[in-house]
Amino acid sequence: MNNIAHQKCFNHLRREAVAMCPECRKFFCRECVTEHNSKVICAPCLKKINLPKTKKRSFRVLGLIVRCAAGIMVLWLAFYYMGQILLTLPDSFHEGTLWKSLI
Amino acid sequence: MKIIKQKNRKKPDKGALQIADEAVNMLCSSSPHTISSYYIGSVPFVSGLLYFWSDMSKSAFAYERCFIASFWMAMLFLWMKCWHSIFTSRLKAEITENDTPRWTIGRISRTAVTQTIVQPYSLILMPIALFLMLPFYAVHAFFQNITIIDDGESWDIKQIIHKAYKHSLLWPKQNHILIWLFSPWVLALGMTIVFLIMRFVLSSMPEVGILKTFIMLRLLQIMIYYFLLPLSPFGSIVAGNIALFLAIMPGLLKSLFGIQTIFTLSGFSGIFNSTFIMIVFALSYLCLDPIIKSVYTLRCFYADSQSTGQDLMTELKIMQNKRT
Repeated sequence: MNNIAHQKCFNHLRREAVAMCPECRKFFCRECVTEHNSKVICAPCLKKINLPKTKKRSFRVLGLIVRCAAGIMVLWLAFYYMGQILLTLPDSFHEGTLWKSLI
Repeated sequence: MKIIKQKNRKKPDKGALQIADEAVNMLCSSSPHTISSYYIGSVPFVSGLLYFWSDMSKSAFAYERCFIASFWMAMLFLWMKCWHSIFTSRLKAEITENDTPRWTIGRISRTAVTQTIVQPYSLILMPIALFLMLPFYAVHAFFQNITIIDDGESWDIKQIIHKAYKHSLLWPKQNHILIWLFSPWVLALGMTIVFLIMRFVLSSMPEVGILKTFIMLRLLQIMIYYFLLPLSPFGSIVAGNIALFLAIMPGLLKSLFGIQTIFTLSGFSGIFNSTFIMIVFALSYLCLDPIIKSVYTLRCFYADSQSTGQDLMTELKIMQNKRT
């Protein structure tokens, strides 16, 4: 009964099947299958394969943006606190006026 | 057999001095195109840092400007790190005798993203590691390796971090010697300690005129000979030369051409203020950092060669080129 010559399309019952989807093991006509990575595959299975990838990709891009923003924030804060430390130091520290007593 | 292999893997093919010699030679023979890519990144950051430092320490509007100025400093830091990656990738191409890689927009954006994600943490982790001393060699090597390994070819940041971490733990003795010789961070630590000790001693001493001057100069001499020079030998010689040049230059201008500058008028305070020390360190950094970058480029190349045989392939390529 598995012989493709005796099978009809899963979506179109009047059409003869030309291929079996390796994912869902169902038979389909010429219109219902497509080639993906050198495999003939049906549309719902192709959708299933691609869906997690696009989701993963969008998560990855989002992750990269968040991590970039975190990096910039860390840098900004590091320089900001460096500036704040410099601001709190007394003028004699920066200007070297303490050394005037040597001359 | 496995133990022997592991032992051999831990032993570097070349000693620290040999790597240092090779790195300096490589830098001297590298094209102006390669060298310029380092300074295009570093000079704006160093100039910005000096401006930020003097502005924050002297300006009356510093409080208002601090927030925006620190943002631009962050941007300049990232700009510098991206150019460092370009510089090291050109150095790598020169080592392997390959064509210099083309920097497309995609490649630049991949490098920019990796550097933005990883390098900011170096500003926090490096001072902590320097304070703790023991993990400093690995942390220092890790952030240098990130610059070198990230050549903009992959989005896989995890793999870059993993590889950088793996290489940073390789050959610790060689790494320690190279850091001791060339690292600007060790020089910064030494200069900060000397500056703070000098200030502390000076502020706690009674006013005794000429004797005080003599004691201060003697103390400075002792600090440089017995502390700064052993701590960072090459760095302190470079910094010493730059400091001497900057200190003598105004005097020479005055005696030879009669040009009076603010430095000749301010005497000792023109030399021992925090901006002068910062300028000396910044110029020393511009001299030392390309050397340390080329040193770590060579270390990464030899570490990769252990599994890829790239060093042998390069030697064969050089021999082939010589024949033809």
